Amino acid sequence: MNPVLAREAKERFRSRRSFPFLTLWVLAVGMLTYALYLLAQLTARNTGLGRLLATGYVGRFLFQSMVLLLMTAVIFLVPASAAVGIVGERERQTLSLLQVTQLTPMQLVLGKLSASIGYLLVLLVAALPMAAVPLLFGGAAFGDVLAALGMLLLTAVMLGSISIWVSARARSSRGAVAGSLSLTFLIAFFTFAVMGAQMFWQIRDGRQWAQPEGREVAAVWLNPFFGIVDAVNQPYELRQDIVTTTPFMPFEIVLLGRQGINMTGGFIENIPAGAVDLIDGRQVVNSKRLPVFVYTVVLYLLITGLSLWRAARAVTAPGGRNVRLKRSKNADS
Amino acid sequence: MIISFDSVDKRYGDTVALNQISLGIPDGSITGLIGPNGAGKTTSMLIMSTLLDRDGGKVDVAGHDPKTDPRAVRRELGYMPDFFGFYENLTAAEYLDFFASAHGIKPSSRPAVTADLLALVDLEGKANADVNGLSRGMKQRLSLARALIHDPQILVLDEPASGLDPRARVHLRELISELARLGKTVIISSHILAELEGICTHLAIIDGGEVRAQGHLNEIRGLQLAARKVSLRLSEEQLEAAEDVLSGVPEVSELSAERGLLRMVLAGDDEVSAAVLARVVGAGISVYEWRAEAVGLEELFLQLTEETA
Repeated sequence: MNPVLAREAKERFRSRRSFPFLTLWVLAVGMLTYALYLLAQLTARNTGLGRLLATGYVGRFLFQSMVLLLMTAVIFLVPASAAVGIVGERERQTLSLLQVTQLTPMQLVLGKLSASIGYLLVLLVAALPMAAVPLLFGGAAFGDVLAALGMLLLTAVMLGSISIWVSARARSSRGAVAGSLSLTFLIAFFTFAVMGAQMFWQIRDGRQWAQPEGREVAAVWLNPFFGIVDAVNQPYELRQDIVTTTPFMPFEIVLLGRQGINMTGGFIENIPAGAVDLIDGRQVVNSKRLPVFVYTVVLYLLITGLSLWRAARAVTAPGGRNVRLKRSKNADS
Repeated sequence: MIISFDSVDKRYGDTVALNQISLGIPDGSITGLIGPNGAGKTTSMLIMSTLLDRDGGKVDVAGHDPKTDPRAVRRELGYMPDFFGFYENLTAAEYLDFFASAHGIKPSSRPAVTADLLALVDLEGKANADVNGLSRGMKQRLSLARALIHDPQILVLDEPASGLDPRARVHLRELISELARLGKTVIISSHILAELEGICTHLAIIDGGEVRAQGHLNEIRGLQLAARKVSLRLSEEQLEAAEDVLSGVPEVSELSAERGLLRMVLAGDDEVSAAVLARVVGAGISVYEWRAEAVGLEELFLQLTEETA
């Protein structure tokens, strides 16, 4: 086991804040699940679904809500936790003590990353009983859950790596958290603005959103919400017969649009020839392009690798930035 | 030499920290690095500990270059900086266990290593105490134990006694002497020169990024000092004659005779001392006692660094 991870785990779980936070987290997720359940039931009742369809809808609504909420939690919690990793060592003057051990810079960086991801995993495991509720309603398949967990984990690793890199370069914990959250928000939220601008540009040019070939909106590749929605939905099945006002719907409009399928008001309006295959009576989107989540996975892996490499370089002694800073401020020599 | 610096340069921007410094640390010695603030002591220690890169010159630590083979150097060297660096929510034993694992010591060996080191630094009763609750002296000893965790042959201690009370200083000195008896090479820097005088076998006086003097403590004392105080005990009757004999010697100054003692300030090394003594004896004067007052480190330091002061 990575020594840094082992020590961080001890430190973290012995801290006074650890268990109260875990308790609050479980309570919050539980209450939110119940509120979402009530909302889903209300929506199903108002749309006049039959009992069987309504049950499936409630399950799907709950599952999709949970996925988006957990992704939001990852976006806020991982950078805040990982950003203090390396800079925290520098502030308590332990970084140079680690640099003179046999730990490699990459071990140090991976130890810090796994410690911050590890805590997130604890939070996810604590939320599992609530996350399993949608399965009872039949709204999500086991494969969907695995796809969601995979994308959540990959996003956490990617955002954690960026935060560790920022942490390795930062001068203070506050600066590291601010820097990490800024970069995270650029990826998670600013991409929505870029996507909107791209779409506006296309419409202004007089092109319809849904062309036979659709329009690629590259900003969605980087956005974790689109990535997870696309991964969970694979293979993409069109359901025209049921209400589609689910939490995933805004994302699905864009994802189907890039395949040339137009969706308005929750109903499919335009399906170009050859865009959909009939498999066992189900309409499955015949992807002419690689699914968005594939781009997302590749991009996230690249960002992760690059961030970890840069972070490891930043904590490498000799000539480490920490030593230079120390010497310039506290010059014995 | 277990550590050698050959014409090593280091700059921080426009500031010269080390200027063509050449330094040798003998194997098994306790070498004190003395110098004022900004002299280059910590920079030298950081370079030998692989924590800082040099701009030029050669460095050899136990046969390895810190620049090209830092991991090998880290195996041979334990570094104790002039700050504590502790983690929260860890006991003293867990703190050492963590650094043992970071040094790649097997899990099965770690409890014994940790217990032995805690006993060595007299903290076995504090094994389960929270590190942050320890006194400053205890933390300093725990730091020393941490630097020793992988059984290095070289120990680099940067200002280890700073901020300690007198009892803790004495304890630390005894500990360092004990480590030297165990065969470790110890390099220690301190502003409290008297601290080093009691334990060092060798000295390196650094000032303005240059080595002013280095070698065995006695060699350094025997260097060409600007002045050393010497007193001769003679019979009262011969005091005046002795004064006459020495009054024309150029190396002798500040002659004074009082109650059977002839005091003077003698410039020059041991050879000059011997020649002056021979001159007195050759004049038929009986010398009952010849006493050269030991030059304290502080005086030595001031003399050797006064040019730049």
